[in-house]
Amino acid sequence: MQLKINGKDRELDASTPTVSQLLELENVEAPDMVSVQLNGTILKREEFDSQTISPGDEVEFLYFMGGGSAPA
Amino acid sequence: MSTSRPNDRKHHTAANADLGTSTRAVHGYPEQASDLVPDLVPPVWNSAAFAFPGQEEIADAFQGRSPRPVYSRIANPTVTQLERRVAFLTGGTAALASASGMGALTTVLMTLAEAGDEIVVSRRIFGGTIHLLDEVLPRFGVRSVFVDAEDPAAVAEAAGEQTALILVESISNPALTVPDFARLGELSQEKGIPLVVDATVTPPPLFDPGAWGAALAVYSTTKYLAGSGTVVGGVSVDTGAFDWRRITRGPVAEHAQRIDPRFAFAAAARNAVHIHTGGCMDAHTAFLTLLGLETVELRLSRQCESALTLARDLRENEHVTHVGYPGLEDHPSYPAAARFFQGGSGAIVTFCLDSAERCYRAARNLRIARNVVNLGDSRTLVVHPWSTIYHDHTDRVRRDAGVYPEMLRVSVGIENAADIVGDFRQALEAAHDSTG
Repeated sequence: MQLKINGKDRELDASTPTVSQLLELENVEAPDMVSVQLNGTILKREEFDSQTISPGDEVEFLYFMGGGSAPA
Repeated sequence: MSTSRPNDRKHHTAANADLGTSTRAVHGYPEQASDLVPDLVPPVWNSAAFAFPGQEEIADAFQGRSPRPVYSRIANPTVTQLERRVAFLTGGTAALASASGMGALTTVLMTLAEAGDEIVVSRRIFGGTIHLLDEVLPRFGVRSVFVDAEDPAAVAEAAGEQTALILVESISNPALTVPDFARLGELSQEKGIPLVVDATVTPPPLFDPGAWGAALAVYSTTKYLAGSGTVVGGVSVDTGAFDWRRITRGPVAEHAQRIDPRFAFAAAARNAVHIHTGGCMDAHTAFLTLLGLETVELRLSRQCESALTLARDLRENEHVTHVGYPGLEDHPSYPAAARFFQGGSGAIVTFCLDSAERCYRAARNLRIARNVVNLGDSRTLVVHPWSTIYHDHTDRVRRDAGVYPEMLRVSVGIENAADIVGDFRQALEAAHDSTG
């Protein structure tokens, strides 16, 4: 399915994965330290196992550590 | 939230909840090896900056979309590994390393307080912290209200609308008093004011500030975490016990709207203060601290035991007029220490002689313990706080802080207890000998 991850178009070889599954599929670094924004809304960590991703969704993986000056 | 007993905080995987302090200290996060650094012993990333394939990847890092380090003032892989290890060790959600313990505390204060705010703080606190609160911060419009932190009612009365945080030490240095953390934690949660505990002298497994409702723990890693007096550093830990959405202004409130609120303090401290003020820890310091903290439980267990042995022996010494150690049954803070600490009451002991001059003579006659202004070292260290750390404070501030001219402070090391005790016995005899 088609979606947008961190501002980039992505073709995902999965249908409606949960956020937890998406973190694994995308091999997201330091998953315990990531914040996930789905279509502009910050998700609670306890929603990661139940919240599913749909075609066309926009997902942002945001970190407060490492990187540069500030999360988006 | 009930704080009558420790919170069962589980910020990490369920499996981690059962791991002991030393296991956590040695191994870190189970996933750590695969996602950041594959080495058994961490390398020292001595690099000011880090290369990327292209500008897009650097932009992703700057926009928070990647945890990759860009520049070592902002993040360094060795320092990041220390931060993650400390967070894991303490059961916190996140940690932020600084160039010193005072640097870590300064970052915390600058993140939570702004001009017009007040800090409610124990009057029995480290002399350097008093300087920061009483001389530096007032120039920026932040005022401190010094209270008797062992009296929760006094803290409650002082904490008002403009109070940005409540600050205490786990064991006050060098007064060696222990606040009622259960009551202070409840107070913090009731009023929505973060409780910050400088827990430098009670690192894991001795004390878990978050279990009693403290929002943040601050450690001078120079002391027990590094453990051998090798490097100066500090770290703050978000315990996860405070809901940062209760903060309604400033960088924490802003970050709580933009990322997972669990990380709001850590993000605000890092992104709104730390990286702009430049108090970063260097990679070599982080490396030595990582090595040191592997043995913190082993060292501290022995140090606490030896401290109690020394305190009991000093109490029996005819030349000693007073002994301070919260592990002694007749110490005013013994009940609090017994309630809040696990495995010991710390490794700092104070004792008084008949004069400051006698203290000098005793200290000069020590053969094993060293005359050093530090604590938490593997070696036993002695200092005369009145004439050193507190030399430029008024007599009233010094006495409020539990500092007296005829008092010595001992940081008990890992030497054999019999040798430490014997050293103080002979030094006290020599100090009272007419030729000593």
